Amino acid sequence: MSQKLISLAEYTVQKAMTLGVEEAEAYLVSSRGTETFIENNDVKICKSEQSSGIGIRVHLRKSLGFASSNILSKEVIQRTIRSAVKIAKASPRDRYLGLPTPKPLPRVNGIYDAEAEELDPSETVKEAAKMLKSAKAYDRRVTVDSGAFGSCVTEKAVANSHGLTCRERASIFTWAIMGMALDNGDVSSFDSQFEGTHWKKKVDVIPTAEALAKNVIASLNPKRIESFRGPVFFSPEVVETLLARPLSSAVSSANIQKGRSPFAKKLNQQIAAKELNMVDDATYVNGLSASSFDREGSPHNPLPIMQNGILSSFLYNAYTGRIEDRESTGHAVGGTQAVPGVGTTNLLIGEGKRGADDILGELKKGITVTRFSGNINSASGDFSGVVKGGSYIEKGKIMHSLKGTLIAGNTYDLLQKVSSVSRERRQIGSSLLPSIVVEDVSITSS
Amino acid sequence: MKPSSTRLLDVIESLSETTYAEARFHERQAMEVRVSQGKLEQSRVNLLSGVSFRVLCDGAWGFSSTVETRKSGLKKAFSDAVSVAHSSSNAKAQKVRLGKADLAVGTFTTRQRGPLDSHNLEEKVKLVVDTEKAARSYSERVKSAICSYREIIDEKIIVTSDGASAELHDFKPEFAVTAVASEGEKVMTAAESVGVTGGWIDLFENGSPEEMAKRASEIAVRLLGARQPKGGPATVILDPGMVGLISHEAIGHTVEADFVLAGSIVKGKIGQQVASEMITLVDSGLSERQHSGAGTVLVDDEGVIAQETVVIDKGIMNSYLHNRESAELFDVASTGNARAYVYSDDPLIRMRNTYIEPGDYDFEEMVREIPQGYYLKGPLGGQADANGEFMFGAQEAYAIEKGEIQDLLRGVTISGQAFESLKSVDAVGKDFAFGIGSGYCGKWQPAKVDGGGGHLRCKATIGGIQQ
Repeated sequence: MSQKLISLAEYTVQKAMTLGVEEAEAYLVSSRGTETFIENNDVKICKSEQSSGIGIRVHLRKSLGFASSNILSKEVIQRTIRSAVKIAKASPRDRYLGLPTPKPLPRVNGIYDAEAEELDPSETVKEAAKMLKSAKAYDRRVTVDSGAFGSCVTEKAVANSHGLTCRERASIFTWAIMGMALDNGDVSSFDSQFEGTHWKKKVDVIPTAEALAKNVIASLNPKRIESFRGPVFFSPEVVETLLARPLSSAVSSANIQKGRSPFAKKLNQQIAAKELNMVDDATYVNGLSASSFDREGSPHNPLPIMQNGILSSFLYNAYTGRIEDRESTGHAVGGTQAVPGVGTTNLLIGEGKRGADDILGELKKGITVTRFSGNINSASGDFSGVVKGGSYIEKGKIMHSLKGTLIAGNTYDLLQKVSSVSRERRQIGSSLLPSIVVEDVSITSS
Repeated sequence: MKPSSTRLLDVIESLSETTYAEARFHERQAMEVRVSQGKLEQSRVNLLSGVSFRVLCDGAWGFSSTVETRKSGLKKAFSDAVSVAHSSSNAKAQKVRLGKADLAVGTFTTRQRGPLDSHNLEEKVKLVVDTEKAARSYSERVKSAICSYREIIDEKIIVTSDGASAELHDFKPEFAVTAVASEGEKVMTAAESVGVTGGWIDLFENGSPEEMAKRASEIAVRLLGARQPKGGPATVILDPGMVGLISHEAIGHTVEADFVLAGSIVKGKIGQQVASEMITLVDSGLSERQHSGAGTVLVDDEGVIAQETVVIDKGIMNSYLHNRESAELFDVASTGNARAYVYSDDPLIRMRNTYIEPGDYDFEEMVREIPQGYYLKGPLGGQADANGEFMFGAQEAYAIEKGEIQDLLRGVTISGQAFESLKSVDAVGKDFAFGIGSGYCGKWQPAKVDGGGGHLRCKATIGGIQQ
């Protein structure tokens, strides 16, 4: 298939150029796999999945046109090229438009496991059933609302009119579970867990199921507390939603250029506590976004974003790079259905020196949060939301789980107030993240 | 290429080992134009087309999809669905049976006032370019803006082995403007958006693009000088969009029958008082109140006519939201809530247009009776928990003091226990509007939904700042 994808990509670029465009790009993806879903404590449905897509970008008289299709026949591709050209003719000019030229790519080995290709659908049923059974076996009060186990092999190819061509194949096994605990009429907060790997031998659904079970049982019998300001211990999951995601958005050159980031003038300045180090690294093969090139074929290389709390780089794709007269950092992201944007790949926050238990043991009065349900405005940094799976801590001990507790503040201010980073890190999808303690957070109780 | 319903039916009747089979052809033509800073960020058309098969074999579901619409390709996908159903039948504890349903036969087309295709691409691009510019020209402090127009045009053919045979045509456009205001290091954003089922006239019925641009910019600028409210329990008035969000997030999800079966807070509550008697909550495929709700569905993806379902009737829990499988377990008829986002998705229980029926209060009267509280406008994202605890955001919050609306405060998140909040309702407005049509609901796959009602007064907790 790989060879077929790359030749279709080249065919598309050639055909587009015959219509008189200045530049053309084709991005193709093809994937096949199988997935079993769980619902209401039972296996729900087993699916066999095959999908494909082509995204065609053309630049005509410095105007952008884009069209996509999930059908890869030459007839449909030709029609899609014509749609892209038609859009370009209706679009305003933009002198910064430009596609990348070919560059040497890094070797990112070990993201394809041939066993994924051969996986029988019954194997995904078995793993889904095992995950369900493990969650229920942990404690009979656990109820599983939904979940899934799937495996898929994805191939992608990029070609453009500057002679750039590249292709890659990756396998991914993913599993997810969502549920709650029921105890004599008491319904806990729900929790959800997600894991994934490129290799079949690393598939292990049991710890994921047990993590869910542990969290939902711990959130039974919640109590209210008084409102106060104090330290909050964020689990890696919350570090992802509350810190890593808005930070990824704030260091995107697209947001910087549009005035949607507070970091525009903060390069080489201290934006966070010196305990914090952050790098975006698509060559980190354990990460689910590991890959040797980005959405438009630019090479992937590790990019330090923050070192000892000092902001060291923004993320660029070819277009945003041209606006500032600089190279892409390899951060064009997106699928076949849209013009590439700018975003992170595998986001890694460096580990701290101390164990999570020691850090927790030193909190005099604070709370822990394992899930945050709220809104975060990544432009302003303002956030406000409900603490889920949280506990009240006094003299280093977990006293009880929480209900009716909200936290609010500004996520970029939180970065400055980080007091501890744990040694242990967890992989959450494409991110590898520690637990983090932030001081002086506003905690409101109903 | 579109297969005929006869061809699809031939395929699903070709193997005798299924007790039920369903075929769905779904072709989606989508487009988006998005402009920021005078530059075109997206200008795209997307074609997404294919056929899926869902089968029941020995009480277990199997599903497969294909882009191939020739008979050989369809047969291969169908036999894949049968094969994966067999793979899971041993692991399945409870065998699936399907309940009774009002199956659709014929052609169903949603109403379009001002057909979308009577406005050409150039016109749509120009509108987005001009509106984005208008948002930035409102004030020097509006440093950037984003404007987008999107449309989703769906065509479907659904056939089932027990008699549904429907052809569907549906149109869902959206328009949004976001203004980003800044002063020093402070950055504030505000958005105005609309999403409907229908045409151009339906889309801009309640406000022109220029009005939306002006309002987004005005709010973003005013938010620069707004302070944050102090957190804690409060009496609040919710605008129709916020009422839509509470109906959807806090109540709607808990009454989806799959969630009820897994143990949601409303399990076993049919016939019980769960809300103030002022509350009648409906989830409707085609609302009589307003035909252009973005969640409008005439026929669901199991080929069932979408019903107008009264979930809570004057405070009493009346019905859950069902597909055919859950309907059988509860011994009721399907409410037509089985929805799939694209051809390769299997149908799940999803909401449609979820709203609270209007009451008899004037808005001014509702405000006048509050000694101290908040008026919350402009729904942002939200989420509800299994235990009924909800949270959702408001773009604008206004303090109410001694029956009068005061200055604009920064947006907040409110939270509460859904049914406690509904029991605390003591006024429902006589107005009605949908207000969350530009958003999507996420549950393994996206879905276009809408929600609304009149203004409503209740108690909730404000997530403000502790000094």
